Amino acid sequence: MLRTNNLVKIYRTEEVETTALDNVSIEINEGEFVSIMGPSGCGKSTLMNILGMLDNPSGGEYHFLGKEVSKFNERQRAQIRKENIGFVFQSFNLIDELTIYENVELPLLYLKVSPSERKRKVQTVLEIMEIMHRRNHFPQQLSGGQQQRVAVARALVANPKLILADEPTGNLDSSHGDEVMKMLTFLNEGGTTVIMVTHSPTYAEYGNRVIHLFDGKVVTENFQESFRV
Amino acid sequence: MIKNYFKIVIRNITRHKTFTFLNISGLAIGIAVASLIMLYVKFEWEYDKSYPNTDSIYRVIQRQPGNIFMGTDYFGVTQEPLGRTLQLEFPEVNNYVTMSSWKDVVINIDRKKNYEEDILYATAPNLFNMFSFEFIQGNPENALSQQNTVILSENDAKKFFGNDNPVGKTITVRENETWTVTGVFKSMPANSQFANYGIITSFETYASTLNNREQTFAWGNNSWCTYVQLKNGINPEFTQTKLPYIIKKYVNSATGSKKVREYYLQSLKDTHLYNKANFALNENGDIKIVLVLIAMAFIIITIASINYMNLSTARASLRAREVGVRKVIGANKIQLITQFVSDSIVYSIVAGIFALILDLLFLPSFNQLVGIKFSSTALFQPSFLIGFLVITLLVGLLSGAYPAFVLSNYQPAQVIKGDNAKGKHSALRRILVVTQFAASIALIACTFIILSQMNYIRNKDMGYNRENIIVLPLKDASVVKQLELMKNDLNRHSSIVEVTASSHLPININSSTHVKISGETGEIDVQSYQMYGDYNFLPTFGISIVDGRNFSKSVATDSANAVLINQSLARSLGLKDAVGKTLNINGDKYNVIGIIKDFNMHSLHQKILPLFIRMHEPWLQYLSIKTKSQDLPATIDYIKSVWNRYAEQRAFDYSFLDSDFNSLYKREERFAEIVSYSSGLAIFIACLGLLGLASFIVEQKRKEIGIRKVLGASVSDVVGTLSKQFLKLVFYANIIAVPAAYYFMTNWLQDFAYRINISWWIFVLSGGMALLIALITVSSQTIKAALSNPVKSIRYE
Repeated sequence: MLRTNNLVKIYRTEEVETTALDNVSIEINEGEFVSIMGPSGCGKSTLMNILGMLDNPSGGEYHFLGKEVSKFNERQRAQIRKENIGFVFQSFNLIDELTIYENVELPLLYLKVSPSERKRKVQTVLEIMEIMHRRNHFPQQLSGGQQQRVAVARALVANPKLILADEPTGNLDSSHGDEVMKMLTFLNEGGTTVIMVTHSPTYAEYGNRVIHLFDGKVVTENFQESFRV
Repeated sequence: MIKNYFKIVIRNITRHKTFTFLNISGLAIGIAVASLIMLYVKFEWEYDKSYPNTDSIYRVIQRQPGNIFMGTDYFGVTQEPLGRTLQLEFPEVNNYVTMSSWKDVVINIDRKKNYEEDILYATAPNLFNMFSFEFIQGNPENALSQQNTVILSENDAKKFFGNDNPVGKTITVRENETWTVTGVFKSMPANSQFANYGIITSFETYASTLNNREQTFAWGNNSWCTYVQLKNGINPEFTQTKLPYIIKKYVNSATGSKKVREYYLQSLKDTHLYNKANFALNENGDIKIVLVLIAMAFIIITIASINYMNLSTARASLRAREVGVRKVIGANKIQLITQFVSDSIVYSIVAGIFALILDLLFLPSFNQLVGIKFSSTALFQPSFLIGFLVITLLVGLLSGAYPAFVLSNYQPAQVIKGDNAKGKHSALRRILVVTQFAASIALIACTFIILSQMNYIRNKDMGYNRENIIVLPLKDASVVKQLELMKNDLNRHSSIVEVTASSHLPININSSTHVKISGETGEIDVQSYQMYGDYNFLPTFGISIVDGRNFSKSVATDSANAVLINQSLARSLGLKDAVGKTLNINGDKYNVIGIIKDFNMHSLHQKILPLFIRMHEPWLQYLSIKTKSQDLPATIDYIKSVWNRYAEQRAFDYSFLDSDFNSLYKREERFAEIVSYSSGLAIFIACLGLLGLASFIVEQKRKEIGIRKVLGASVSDVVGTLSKQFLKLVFYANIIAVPAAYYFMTNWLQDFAYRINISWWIFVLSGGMALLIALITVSSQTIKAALSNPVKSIRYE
């Protein structure tokens, strides 16, 4: 599905140069559920941004679905992104002025999906995420867990091949966290590749593989027997 | 997708009420002002341009170098044979029209109804061809071919005869001429020089009313407006270079005059806005007023758009996350720019709706301001609505472009984590605020300077008294014949102090001629203003005599050959002891019996020039009545009863000299009003923006304020810190505004022969005023923030 080769990301300010990623080479196959772990500042989010094509690397190669995309411009990246990748964030990042329904519908609008098709797809994911009954509410009217379920719904409404989840449970209490993890697992079982950054070892174990990052380098990759709760 | 954008805009509009209110009210005022000004500019710009032949029509104006009258030595009047001669002599002249008009002529219909109308008389078929009159009845070729025939405009025909067919009916002119209606033409648009003329007759008909036909139509008489139409493709310069030949061959040889004169061809397109000649058929527009209004529209629209830009970019950080999410989901930059520009267009359209309401509400006041009567239907004509829509969309586009650019540039990787782009773009925001306030302060300073010049004009001693003087125009000779009887009757009333008849009033002396005297070094020839008055002229207007005496009833020769001259004329003639000297005026000899003190006979744009006063009854045009100030209505009633006794057939019109005096400055008054309204609006809109910006920044700094207070800052410390940064901007604005205002106003004042000096306190005052208004605006927000409980704001995040 995707493969990186000596990925480097360097941030420069006037005085300091920070190497956020240092020759990261990973490979993730279709259908995998990969957890990325590591302390603050180890480069997890930077890696996620590059994998999600929100940012370009300073060096190295990034092959996504067989294409070398590290030198793509913003328009090209946006095109691949909207067709293939769904995002879930720690802070949900729903648009306050749009209702739940409209938030979930948004990716389909950018994909120019027909209205009837949109309606069907949005309804399906809202039902899967069990938030159909709140579809006309605005994000602030929902609990954190519910908001994250909306975010997940939005991430998967366009039926992406890959879901990138950056600490999806970070702002949630454990019961809501569990719920979200169940959703992600459910999606993975349906064939979607999931890459998730997390601080929680428990949640990390939902994945079939854990990548540990430290100071911008991959330190270990643990394959584990996936077990389901 | 568009639907999605609109949902967001509408929800933003309803959710952020303050922001919405500030933006929309600013934009609405801006659009309203700009659209009304557009209405006016269009009217003035299209003046006399609606005829199919407009491009090839020229007015002949003449210049008599040095013969300056009302500030110019160009004259819009020429000789009657000129047009005909030009067509005869020059093959490229296709057509010509010679015309003139009578104002306020009494018209009787069926011997019953009375009207006072303006009548145009012209070389008939030529006029209709050149200016493409549309005939509803009758035909242009022969409608006026018979003597004593007349055509009416559709409007006047309706006014005079209702729904009856007017053709074949008669109108009675000045009680003794009966003219038959032979045609009806479609009324000309309001912005045509013919708009006021509903009655048109031929030259022949006019000539038949004259006793001195020969003289009136001679080369020596300059009282005709001449238009020529050149063949297509002819450069008017070509014809113009041949005009001196006409002067030499016809004018000089026929009149024997050696007076230097020049003829010019002025394009019809320029006669309204760029008229520089005296004596036009109609009151002319003024390109300066048009330009000033366009500038004001531009300034106000810019200030309102800056508000939108500032408030939107300030609030951009709040929308940064939305931008991030949209980008993550797959929006590209173009889509985001489209979204934010359509945002501002929605705002401007909502503002446009309010602007249209404002237009309707303020149309009457605007009409008064520009002196044109636009009806409210003008606001619903397609041409206006299209222009209105263009302004609205343009405002939306311009105000939205920059915020859209800023917002769409956010990098999702940064903003998505809540790392808001705070503080960015604030430098540009500051520059924009400084621009707004610089424009407002400059306008305020201009307003003060204009108002103090106007005040100076009103209070300057002009050298004559103009209080409590009622003026009656004498209208025609039949009234003048009754003058002595009227004066006697008027003098009987106890509230009437003086009564005088004169050819001009001290404010409008507009006739001039040559005065000659033989001196030691030969003949001295001075161009001087002239007027006619009676024994009471000087006392009525309180004009003092510095040497000699006034006209006296006891000296029989006074009415025939006495003359009063002003100090300027005495000086110009080089006379130290003028009383008793003999002057040659147009070949007749006059004795100087008195020297009168110089008074300003025109507006203060002009210096005092030479003047002499003679007595000659047939020329009298005005009756001026000096009254006591108490019980004015009863006095006016009495005057009216006397008028009706002797001049029943003419309507009783009167005016007060001091308001006539004020009308000398109508243009300046208009200018002053335009600038003061604009500066008021400008500062108001700028403050709306400042209010929004202050409230936003205070909101952002809530936490900082809390921390400062916890650390021991007092309320006044906090208000001071927060307000200082805004006041600094207003201060910078002053630095830009002062030289700009000084420059423009020095220019403006150059037009006045008598003017104020621009004093420094005007700038201190206007700068201080802007600063104070800004302080009040900002304080309303900062004080609120400073008073809030720090615990709340610290816990806030």
